Formats: sequence, C-alpha cells, structure tokens
Amino acid sequence: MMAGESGLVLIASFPKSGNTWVRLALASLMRGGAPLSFPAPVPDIPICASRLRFDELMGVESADLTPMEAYRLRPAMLRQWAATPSEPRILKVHDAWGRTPDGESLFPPEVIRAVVHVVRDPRDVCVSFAAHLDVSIETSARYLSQGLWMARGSRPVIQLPQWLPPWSEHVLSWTEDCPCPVLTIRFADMRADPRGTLARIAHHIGLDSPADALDRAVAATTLEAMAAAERSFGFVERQSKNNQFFGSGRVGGWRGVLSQPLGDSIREAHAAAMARVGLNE
Amino acid sequence: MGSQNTARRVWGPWSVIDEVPLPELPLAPLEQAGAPAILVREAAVPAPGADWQQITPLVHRAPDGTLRFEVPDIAAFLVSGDGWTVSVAPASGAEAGDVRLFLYGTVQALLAVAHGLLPLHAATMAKDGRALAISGASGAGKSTLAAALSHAGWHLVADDVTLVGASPAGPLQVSPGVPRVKLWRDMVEGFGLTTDGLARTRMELEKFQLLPAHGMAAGPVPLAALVLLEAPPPGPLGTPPPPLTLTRLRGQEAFLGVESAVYRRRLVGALMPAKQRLAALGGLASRAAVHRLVRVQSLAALPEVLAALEGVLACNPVGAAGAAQP
Repeated sequence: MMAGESGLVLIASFPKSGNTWVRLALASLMRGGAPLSFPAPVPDIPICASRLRFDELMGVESADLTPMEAYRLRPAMLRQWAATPSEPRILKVHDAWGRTPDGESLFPPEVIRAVVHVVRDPRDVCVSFAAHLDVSIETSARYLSQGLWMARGSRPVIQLPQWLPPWSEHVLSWTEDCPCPVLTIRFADMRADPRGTLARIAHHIGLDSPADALDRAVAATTLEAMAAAERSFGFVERQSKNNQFFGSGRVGGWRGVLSQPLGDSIREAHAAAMARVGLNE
Repeated sequence: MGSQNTARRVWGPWSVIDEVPLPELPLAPLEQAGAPAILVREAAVPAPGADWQQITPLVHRAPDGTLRFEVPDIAAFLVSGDGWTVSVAPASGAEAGDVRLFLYGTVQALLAVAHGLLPLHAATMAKDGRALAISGASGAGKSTLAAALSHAGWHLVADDVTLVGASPAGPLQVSPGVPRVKLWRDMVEGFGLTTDGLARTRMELEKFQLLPAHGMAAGPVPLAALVLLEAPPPGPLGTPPPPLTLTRLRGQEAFLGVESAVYRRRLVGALMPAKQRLAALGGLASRAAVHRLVRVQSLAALPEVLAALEGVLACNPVGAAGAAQP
C-alpha cells in the first residue's frame, strides 16, 4: 500500500477465520515477500478497535468512557484515522458491519476503499475459538449462535469492546449490508490455493503483486511456518494460556472434535449464511 | 454554582478559582491569595466556528488560540488562549463528577499547553523530597504502582497527568496534582482493600478513586527520574516470563523515551509549538534520569518492582547531579 493513498482497507472476519493469516501474507507481500519477524509479525496491520490508537486519535482516555460512549465515537475515530497519513492503511476488523445507536455507519463508507471479508466453516471456527479463548466447545458453539462481547471485562484491555453478533448475522452483515467493495474469501481457498487467493486479495485492494513477491510471501507465511515461528518466539496475539494461536488449520478438522449432534446443530443454525458464502461444498 | 461558595484552590502548578466546584483539590494557602489564578466557570461553549482547526474529532482550536474540547453527553470545555479561563458547559443531566474527570484529564493537558508546559502520562510519587515519574501506556500499571508505593510510605504527587515545571534554572519540579489514584476494582482488591466507600470515577465503570495512603506531597517536588514501564514481549507457550530489567537510557534513546511519555502525544504535538516542545523534551531527557523498566504485570512481581524503583531513586540525586552516573 502506498503511503498517503486515500481510503482504508478492512480485513474483516469473525475471529479465528483466517484474518491473521491474510494479514501476515499481505504484510510479507508488502515487503516484497520477506519473512516476518515473530513475536510481533504484523505491526503495520493493526486492529481497528485499538484502545491506544483511539486515545491518541481522539485526544481522550477511552478508559474514562463507558463502552457505549466509546462505541459511538468509533466512526469519528475511523475518519480521523483515514485523515492521518502516518497511520496504517490496512486494518484488522472483528466487528460486524453495522450502525451505532446514532444511526452512523460504524465504518464510514466514505473512508473505506475496500473490504477483504474472510469466512471459514463455523464448525472449524467453533473448535479454534474454543482453543483461543480457553473455553469448552459447547461455550464456543453458544457464542457462535448467540453472539458475544469481545474485550469487555470489568477493566479495559488493549482493545475497545466489540460486539460480535451471531456467526450468520456477522457474515451476512458484510456480504449483504456493507456498501463498500467487498471481496469474500474462504479459509479453504487460502488453504487450497494460497497464491491465487493472495493474488485476488492484492488485486482487490490495489496492491502490487509481482509474481516473485507472491511466491516468496506465500512460502514465508504457510500455516506450518507460522506455527513453527510461534513455537520458537511466541506471538503477541495469542490469548490462550494453553494453546498456540496457530492451530492445524485443517479444513474440516472439526470432524474429530465436535460431536455429531453439535456439528449438525451448528450447520443447521447457520445453513443459509454458509450457503451464501459457499461453505456447503 | 453560587459565587459565595467559590474557593481558591491549588491544581498542579496553578491557583484556581472554582466557580465550578472542584472539591477534590486542596484549598490554596493564604499566601497565594493574591497570585494570578485560573478561573474555572460555568459558561456557554459555542460550537467550533468554520475557521476553527480540527485537531482531533473532539478538540478544536480557534484562530485566537482558544481550545475547545467536547465529550458528547458529558460537557464541552473552552480553554482561553492565555490559559487563564476555563469555561465548562455540562451537558443536560451530566454528573458533576463525570465532568471533572475529563477536566482533570484532557482539559488539564490543554491548560498545560496553553501555559507552555509539557504534560506527561505518568504517575509521580515522592520520597525523601525527590520524585519519580512513572510513565507507560494506558493499562501499563502506573496507578497500580502509585498505589503500591503510597502504601510503602511514598507521597503521591500526581496520578495519570504529570506536569513538570520547565524553568531554565534549578531542578525540574512536579507540582502536586489531583489527590487521588484511579484504580480498577481488581487492583483495589488485589491490594487486599475493599471498594466499599470508595467513589467510582464514573457510575458505570469499575474504576475507583483511592486516596493516597500516606497523603500528598506538601508542595512541588524535584524530579529525580522518569521510569518508562513496559511489559516483556510474549515468549513461546509455557515459557516462564523473563526477569525484570532496568536500563538507563541516554542520548537519543532518552529523548525518544521522554517523547513516548507525553500525555495525549499526538494532540499535544499538534498544539504545542515545535520549538517549545523540543526544548521541553530535551530539558527532561538531559536533566532527569530516564530508565526503562521491563517487568511482568502481576501483583506477585510488585515487591521486586518496588525495590527497583527504590534503587532508581537512590542512585539519582536531583539538581546539578541529576545526570550522575548510576
């Protein structure tokens, strides 16, 4: 991404859907395919709900605001972000597309250039999310069906609170409601054809992707390489005390883990949204 | 808001006349009765004019230097360009305590800029007549350390916003700020205290106002050192956290360290003339000992951290010897 280029790019997804993998591949591609340095491999693609950035961009301490007050200011924060050339142009997003109680778009479309929307089979998400949060499979499945607050404990953490609606609603918010140019990619596409998928992403967001840089970026950011780097150096985004951030990433890996009834109930609950983004194949 | 109840109080380096009651602040001693004072009054605050500059979505500057800050549904504030008048327009139904919270935060930083002072994002504690400013990002543990040092007998000088006097002669000095430490419930309880009877910073937040166990510093305190708090980077899963490290920063590293400690750095950077800001940063970097303290953020690690801070104070006398080698 060229410095000073106008408009922000969002990498949007429900957690544990491949968002970080996409960011790592893009970060490497932007460096001509260079390997990334763990434990903090993607400092230049930060989360949009960063508390520190909010405080600096707004000039007020978010920890003195209620979660709702901060939420209502996020559109203004993002406009200020877009107007600040020194800030990164590509952002990680776990929120759904939506509006604040004031009726404003949480992500003002006029400052969003493109959205890369990453989706993954909710049954695989369920397993990975449970490991990430150190909760049971059943609790994770409940989060997918009921939605959850992220980063909203009794005291602030490094992210502002984010409301994640149920998985289906989250997916459809980006595919149906977001008026910006959205490219939806599937985790399985990244797995089956990382080079082709990364090229599509780069094209969608207007990033140069010379063939040799693509080759190197894909080789530098295989899931296996990242899991190995995390084992050696750690990873700043790991939350669990028991599990690595980068799991096996096996498509359909839920089969050995979820009970048949639980797997079926997730598929039935989210069938329409899964079909919408081609996750039934 | 009757003027009959107005008091002259001390707020950091300033006297204030509080037409808007500021009950947390100590009354000014008699000898300050005639000194210039900042008037904090309730008054209408106009919307930013078309020729005002937007500094952040919440902060605007008028062509005459007047600064405007607004927290929606809480209050709008206006700081006159000369820094001697603060107008406060509470939103309808706003809690007075909520209004003061932002007055003591961002508005204090705007006042500092108007008076040519560089505000630091730091809790400052004093012992034996010398002060340590403890800086770090929000959530880095500044207030927790301030509370812990307070229980260990240190005096509170300032929590959260630290104003360092920048007089060219004599030692750097920090004036006592708002006499409370803002602490989240888990930390209050971690110290074995109860939140019963403590005032919340906001009705909806689990953050409480703790009075310093051993009181406030009685007056301005010479600044011995600035300590930058950091957490170690994460290691591989299951590896124990690295041991505490304390490093004295020098030259450009010290300068950049001080710069990282500026309160609302981007806002202050946009408002303060570059020459003045660089002079203040340089003055601090050369006249206070700047240290980086990397440690895990846990109550169990507190004794070791307190010992390290005692050590920093012990090896950094203030004044001409402020640059002494540790």
